[in-house]
Amino acid sequence: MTILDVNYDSLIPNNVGLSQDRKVLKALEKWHPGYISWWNDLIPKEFQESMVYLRTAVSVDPKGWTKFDYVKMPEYRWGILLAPQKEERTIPCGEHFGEPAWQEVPGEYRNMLKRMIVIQGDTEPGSVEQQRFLGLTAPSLYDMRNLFQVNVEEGRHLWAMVYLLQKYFGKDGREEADDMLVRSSGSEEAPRMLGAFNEETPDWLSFFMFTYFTDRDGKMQLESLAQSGFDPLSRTCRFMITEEAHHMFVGETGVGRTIQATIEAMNAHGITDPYDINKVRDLGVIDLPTIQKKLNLHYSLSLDLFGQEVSTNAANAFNSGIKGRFMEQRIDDDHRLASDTYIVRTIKDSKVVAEEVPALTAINMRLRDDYVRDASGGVGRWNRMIAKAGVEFEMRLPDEAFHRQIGVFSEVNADTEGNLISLESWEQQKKNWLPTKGDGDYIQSLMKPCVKPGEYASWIAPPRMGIDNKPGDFEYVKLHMA
Amino acid sequence: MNKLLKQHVICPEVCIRCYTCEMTCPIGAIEHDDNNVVVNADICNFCMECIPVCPTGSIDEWRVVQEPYSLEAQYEWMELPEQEKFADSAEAEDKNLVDPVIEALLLEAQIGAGGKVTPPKSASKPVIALYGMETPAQVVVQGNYCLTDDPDHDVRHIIFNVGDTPIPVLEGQTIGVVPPGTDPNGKPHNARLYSVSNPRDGERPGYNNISLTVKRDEKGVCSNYLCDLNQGDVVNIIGPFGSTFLMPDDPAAHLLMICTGTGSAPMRAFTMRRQRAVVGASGGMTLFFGARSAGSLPYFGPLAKVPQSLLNQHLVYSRDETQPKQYVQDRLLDNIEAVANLLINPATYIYICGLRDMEAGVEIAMTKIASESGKNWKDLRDQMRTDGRYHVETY
Amino acid sequence: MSELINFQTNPAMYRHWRVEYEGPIARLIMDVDESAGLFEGYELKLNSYDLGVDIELADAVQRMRFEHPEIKVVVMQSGKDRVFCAGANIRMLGGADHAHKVNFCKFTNETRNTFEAAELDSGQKYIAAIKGACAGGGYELALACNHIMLTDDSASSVALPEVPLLAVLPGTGGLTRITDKRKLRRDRADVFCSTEEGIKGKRAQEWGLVDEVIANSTFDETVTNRALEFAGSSKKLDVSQGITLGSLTKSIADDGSLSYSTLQVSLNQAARTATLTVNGPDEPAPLNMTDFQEQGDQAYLLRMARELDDAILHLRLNETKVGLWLFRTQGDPKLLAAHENLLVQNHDNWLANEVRQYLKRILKRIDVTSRSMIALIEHGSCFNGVLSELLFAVDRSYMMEDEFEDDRRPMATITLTDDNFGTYRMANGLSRIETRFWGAPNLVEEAKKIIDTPLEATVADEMGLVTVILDDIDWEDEIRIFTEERASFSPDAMTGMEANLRFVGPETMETRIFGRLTAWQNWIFIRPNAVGADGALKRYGSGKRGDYNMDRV
Repeated sequence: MTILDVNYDSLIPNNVGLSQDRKVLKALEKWHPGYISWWNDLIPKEFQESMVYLRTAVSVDPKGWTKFDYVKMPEYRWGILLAPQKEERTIPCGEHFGEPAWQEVPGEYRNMLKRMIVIQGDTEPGSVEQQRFLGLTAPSLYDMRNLFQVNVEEGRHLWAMVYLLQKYFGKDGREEADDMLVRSSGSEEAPRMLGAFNEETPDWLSFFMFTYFTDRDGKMQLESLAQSGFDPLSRTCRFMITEEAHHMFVGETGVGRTIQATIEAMNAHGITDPYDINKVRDLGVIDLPTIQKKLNLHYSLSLDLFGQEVSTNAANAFNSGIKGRFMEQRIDDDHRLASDTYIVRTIKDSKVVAEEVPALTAINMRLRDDYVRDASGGVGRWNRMIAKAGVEFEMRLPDEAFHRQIGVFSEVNADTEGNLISLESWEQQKKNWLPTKGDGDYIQSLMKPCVKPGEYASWIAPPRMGIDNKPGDFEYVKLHMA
Repeated sequence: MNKLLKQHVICPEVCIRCYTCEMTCPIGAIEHDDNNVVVNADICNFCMECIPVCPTGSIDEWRVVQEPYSLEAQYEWMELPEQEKFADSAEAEDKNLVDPVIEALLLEAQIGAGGKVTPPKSASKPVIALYGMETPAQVVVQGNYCLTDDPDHDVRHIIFNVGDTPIPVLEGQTIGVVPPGTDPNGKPHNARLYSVSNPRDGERPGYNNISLTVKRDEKGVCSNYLCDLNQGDVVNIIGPFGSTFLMPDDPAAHLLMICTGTGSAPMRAFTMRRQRAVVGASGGMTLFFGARSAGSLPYFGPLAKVPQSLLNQHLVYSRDETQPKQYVQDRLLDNIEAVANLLINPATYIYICGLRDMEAGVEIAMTKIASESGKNWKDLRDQMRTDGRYHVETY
Repeated sequence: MSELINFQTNPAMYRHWRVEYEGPIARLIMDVDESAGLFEGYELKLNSYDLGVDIELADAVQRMRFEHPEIKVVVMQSGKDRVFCAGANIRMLGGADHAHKVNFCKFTNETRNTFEAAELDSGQKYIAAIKGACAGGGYELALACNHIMLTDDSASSVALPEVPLLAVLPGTGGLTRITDKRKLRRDRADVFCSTEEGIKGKRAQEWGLVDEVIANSTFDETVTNRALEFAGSSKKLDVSQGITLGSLTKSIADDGSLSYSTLQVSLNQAARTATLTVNGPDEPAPLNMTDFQEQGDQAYLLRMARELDDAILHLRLNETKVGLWLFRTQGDPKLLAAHENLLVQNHDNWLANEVRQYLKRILKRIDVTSRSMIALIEHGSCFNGVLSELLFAVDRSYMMEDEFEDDRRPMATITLTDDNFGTYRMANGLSRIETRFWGAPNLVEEAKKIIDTPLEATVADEMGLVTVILDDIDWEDEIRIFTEERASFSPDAMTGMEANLRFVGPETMETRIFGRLTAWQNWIFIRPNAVGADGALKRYGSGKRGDYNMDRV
């Protein structure tokens, strides 16, 4: 295999002494070609050949991971970068609280750690697969560039997880790394591990919703893993979080710009009733109620990613110190949760009730609560835009009981306010809450590519600021015209 | 008048609350609540680490203020407040960070320190980059004096009257001078950096003036421009810059200053600050000052008036016909015992400024001196630097 | 019990046993010194025993075979009046911690099995000559003999009073042997085991509890005659001269590590691991058995066997926290093969046979050791024949694959020999290879085809002879992670899991003793009804019966 001659240190920006690490090199020699061919098979050819103005992380200092330049995606330099090691870092939670952080995998927790890394790693290529065709309908070169940036960074996050598996988990780890390339989003034979990563991302609004809501789950998970007592995982995730911010940005501004285009169009044409859907749609923008439905869908799917509200697995992971809570270091408690309790909503006698459970078992719930708080921020900012434009409409996060497939609420039907309703009633009303086929068709009809610099599709407003201080009409992608 | 401050702020409308800046900030100056992400003006030292990591650009916002916005006020913001207009200041509309070119120049100058430099613990908090290339401060030449008696070494002491423009400099900081005109490519000239040679309260106490020490370089666009200035000329300056090469305010600190040529500028500022601010006993100061001869040694005259009790002076000449040729490192070694005692004294602060050539020699001398008291110079130096007690600016 | 228990002894040091030799007959006389208990706090009254007594017995049985090959019949009898043996000392049991009780029972069981098998393995037949009370562990001693003779003095009886008296089981094989060996009908066994005073005279014989009941007046004479008779009909070849088993060369370091001439045991107390490195021979094999006999206890295989045996016993009893043993070997496999071949070629030689039988017993000891065990097949190792057998005794094996950087030792190999297919049978009656490939006899046949061929990692892996093969990139990490993981599991769950997985297929009396009987006994040993403050063991001798929790569990 000629790959042996490759100088990995220049091909793969890294701060882990890759060229000296025979073990990982050997593993990568086998894995790398598979990854490249995965990538090549994934994204339509014309985009593979295009020059994209991308940010490449070449080191972990703030200046080193914000190098912008044109690059062809298959030539993107996926790096292996860990946040700098904190001296004398200690395990931040659980029964090992205060002991020195592990620099090697503790054999005791090997399998739990591996499972966690595999699940996290599996989501990364999953979302690239889900979004593979979106480039064809990009509403602007700016958005296309952002999509590809998200894609290559998800790719890098896969690398990051694969590195951990190959470096620290021996034979099994290498097999798990290989399996990451075998599973595929939506595949019948070997689907991605989590449900939300097997749903297709059919249109750009879905993509924005996905990056806003689902990537935010990813961010929360990374935040928790950044609190791991297994230091290499913590360092990896700490650096990944900094990149994840870009995905949040794409989501929040993407939805925001979609709303902006809608309210601007409404104002320009004197439409005041946001529910006058046909009239609004005639303007080539997406009506606010449909945006709300998309929000309902993606939010509820993302809540499912947090798993069961009360979970022994999560308790074990916390107690063993391999996964902390969101911003663990800022939480003012004993970080062991030996006798604390936490309020969890559950269903008793067909009613939603609050119940106190041992805090240790409610780790998932707590993270989900933090997520809900985090996710509501952007919604508030969208509403300010709507209010500023004088349109009477408010985006809302539906109740946590709404449209759930996992957890206590999966067994009931609830409206967006959280009222429990009959199955019949649900079937009747769900068209008001979730996107219908008609909604999807309409949105699909808007998905026409805009590939001239500075040109933006009707349904989305240009960004307030460009990327890397570049103007909005900068040629973010130099399309390869075959 | 009240001192104007530059405050780092975050635009709440553009920010997406990813907290990347907060996690990146090395000194914990950024925090958030459920509403906003904000910068604590008491902590922020303008290190700029948070700027490139922001995915939105919302981090890159600045306000010049008299009273910094409190955290509480910032938490309430729905959008950024307008830049306040100050009646008594120049147009304070200020969008400048430390220009990367300038930053690179500063880093380059301090490279001899051998690692990340920390300011002295008791140093005052510097104001940085109040004026940038787009909004330079305009100052008027008050005087331009030749300091040397050596035609090959034309060193000038140039005093600017800054009038009502607030330019809060600390001893050891630098300002940039922007020569007028363009370079052969038609681009405006880059700024050149000069250490101020006056203490913080002005060349004359209470007068709004600052001074520079400039040596004419045959080919230097800026040095020729400066050396040729006449009284009343108007000069564009930017800055101030530099957040580490500062003096401790602690009067018990002993300053060991080693310089050549115009490297004497900050030493002069330190000495004058001590003279003015410290009444009674101080930790003392020691100066090793190298020049070709007495004639080419800037401030030779004024130095003679500084009492040895305040400033222990070693003037070293490499071309004095009456003495054997000597460099600062030779003199350091001549005083091996005294210097060794200073090195092990935790109150000692070392400042090295001047031509880069001197660095290697000083390094060798220090290694020898440190080993005299059984110390490893490199370790000692690194420790001192981490403590904010070792500073180098060479060029 | 912080003082180390030493398994090395010799007749000059015995406090509890005497051996008298008369031609082909030896008399093994139990005469326990009341005041010489292994620990403080009890007296060994009425020929009751503790571990110290049993260590001497095991030594005597062992020496009988190596030092006195001329002996064909061993008569086990009491040196005290009116009591044969009262069994394990109850106060000792009442005071011992759980781990000690369990280890004590295991060792006594192994000793019983050893002299029980002596007839078959070495032609030495054991007769129990019972005069006086023979209760509990005392009767279990007798049960392990090949022939039981009881005097009919209207007082002497055999009994298993554990259940009614102490609320524990006759756990040293008693409950199993009365049915499986003595073929007692199960309802009679029920009666017998719940009758404290036991059964005397004719009925004992009628039920099959003893082979002969003899009038007291002629008892001694009959025993002697019977012994002579057995000796006369013995098929054991006459051997005039045994060898001497000298004391072992052994040193113990501060951290508990052990050093023998052929074996290093290094302990890592923090990681709770012991690494046992068996060094292959460095001298050529003896030329013939005469040469071997001249070398005696210094002959490599016998020396290695004794050292390994001692190390296992030492670690079991004295290092209970060390939960993982890693077996390594280093040496020239061909040279080891030469040593083994001498014994194979002379397997009918008495000494060759004894050494091989001894190796079999040691491997069985490993089988029933309640420790996680793995084998590391490193470069430079000598897993040939008997040492290869280690690979199939332990729970997992890891083998080095390909060359390792800066490692110039010969490539790791495994060599199977004929001996791996039946010489060292496990308690379940199967060879370890058969046990390993239970249900896949074709794999056993495949393995037979590569006898005497050194196998490198990939082949060994393909043939299923090792668990995992690892190259130099993974080796260290994988083993570290495995050991850490293993050390983190509950020792109880590990013991249970391993004990279950190590034995497949058929049950034998031996597996039933080490499996069913021991497991139940050990369960009872942690129940308050037996060991609680008011349990039967604790209250024994106080006049009060145990205060039982009457819930059936």
